[in-house]
Order: sequence, then structure tokens, then C-alpha cells
Amino acid sequence: MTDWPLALVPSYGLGLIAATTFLSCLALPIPASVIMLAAGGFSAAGDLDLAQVVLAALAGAVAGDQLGYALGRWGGARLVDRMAQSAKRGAVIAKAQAVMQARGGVAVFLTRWLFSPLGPYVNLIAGAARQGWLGFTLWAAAGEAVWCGLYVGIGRGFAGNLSAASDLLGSVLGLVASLAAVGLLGWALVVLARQDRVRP
Amino acid sequence: MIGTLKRLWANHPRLLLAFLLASTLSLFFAGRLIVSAAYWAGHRQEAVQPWMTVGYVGRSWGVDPRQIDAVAGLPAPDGHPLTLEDIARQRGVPVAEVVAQVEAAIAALRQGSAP
Repeated sequence: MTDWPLALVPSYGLGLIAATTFLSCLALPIPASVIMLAAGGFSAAGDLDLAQVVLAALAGAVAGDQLGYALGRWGGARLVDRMAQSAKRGAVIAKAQAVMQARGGVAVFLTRWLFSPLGPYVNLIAGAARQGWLGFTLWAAAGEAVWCGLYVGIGRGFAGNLSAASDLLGSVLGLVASLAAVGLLGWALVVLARQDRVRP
Repeated sequence: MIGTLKRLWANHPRLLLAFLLASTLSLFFAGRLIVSAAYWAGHRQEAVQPWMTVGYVGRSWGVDPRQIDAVAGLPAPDGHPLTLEDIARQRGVPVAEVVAQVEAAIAALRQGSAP
């Protein structure tokens, strides 16, 4: 773990936290989770205000999501339109857009915090697939609230032990994500096994 | 049961492999969680680092930060919080010196409060 960005947290405070979450939503390699954990720790030590820290992190993340979505919408949508001109591809793209509009919200929500490395790309895809702006914004903001609240809250709870907080949180999120995959895949296998039995 | 698995393996090998991979990952994360929880239960305090403020160190070690200031001869925070690095820079001394002073202060304070 590099220590230099942590020294900047109490000095530059809220602006740094907002900038960190903003840039990490654009897929830049910024240690936003460690910064938020540290900020939570500093809030417990009385160096920063908890509510301000959460709001700053949330503001940066929501703004970053909006920029990613706008980039996908203005750049990506044009590209998608050009690709959709071929009849065969057009049908597939129309289907992808329909799925994104109908169920994209949950994907947006979960890629804020549980599968956060995917978040920046989902922003671009959501914009390019013309997912509704209001739906995107609400799901994204809800997901970012979980992300920021979780990291700052855990950082505060584990104040004075940053390594423990980041270590434990990494394991917990990994466990939740892999258990979710086990559940979904297991369910699909059960359904498929039943179908195979009906028509062997 | 075995028959079902064989049929699944024949018809959906990739799905079955993905399921096994996800199960393995779950076991890995569960194991890591247990190991690190056991480890951190015995290692509450975090070593003093240049990026920490006196408040943060005090929180980690269960010592009043203002007492650390007093014992280590550090300035009380005024306005915005200072990291140990900031304090060292202001004084023009190496940060290791300030870290050592804080460590000595913690040791003294904890000894003083011990029964």
C-alpha cells in the first residue's frame, strides 16, 4: 500500500476525497477505496467531519458516473447507431438496448459497490445503449451511496487500523460476490438439469 | 445424482465449470476472512506512520491525542489537522524523529495508565 496519498487526506480533505471518487469512476487507477477508509478513520479521530466526508465522496462519484454516461451517450451512441445499420447486427443491438433499459438498473446499482471494477465501463455502455437518464442516475446514486457509506463507515469503525479494514472488507465483498455467483449458477444448473430430464 | 451431474457435464460443461470456480472462490474468500479476522483480533494497533495525524494515532492506540502532544512536545492542532510528516517539515527534522517521539510518548502513556 502506498502511503503518500494517505498523507494528503487530512491536509487536502474533502476536495481530495471528491476528486478521488470522481476519477475512479472514469476507470483511472486511483485508490479510492483506501482513501475512503482512511477518511473514515480520520473522521473518527476528529480530523474530518463524517457527514462532510460521505457527501464529498458521494458528490465526486455521482459526477464521475454522469461524465461516463455522457461520454457513452454522445460518443458511443453514434458508434452503435452506425453499427446497427446492418440488419443482422441491428437486431442484436436492439435486443441489448432493450435488456439494458429493462434490467440495466440493477446492473448499474451492483457495479457501484459489489463489482465496482466494472462500474466505469457500465457507465459507458449505459450511455451508449441509451438507458434512460433518470433511471441511470437514480440507480447509480443509490449504488454510490452504498459504496461511499460502506467504505467510510467501515473506515470509521476500524479507525486506527486501516490495514485490517481494507483486508476484511476485501474478503467480505469477495465472499458476497462469489456466493451470489454460486447461487445464480447453481439455480441455472438445477433448471437445466430438470429440462434435460424432461426431454433427454 | 451422479447421472444428473454426468448429463450436465455433457450438455453444459462451461456452466458447470463456472459453478465449480465460483464455489472455489467462495471457499477461498471465506478462509481468508476467517484467517484475517483471527489475525486482526490480536493486532488492534497500527504501527505509527508518517501519514497519520496525532488524533489518528491516539485513536489506534487508545491514548488521548492531546496527551501525546504534551508528552512528545508536539504543537496542538490549530485549524486544520497536521500529519506527522507536516510536523516534521515545519520543524525541519526527519519524519523518523517525530515518529520515534510519538512512539516513545505512547509507550510512556500506556505504561502510566497500566495498573
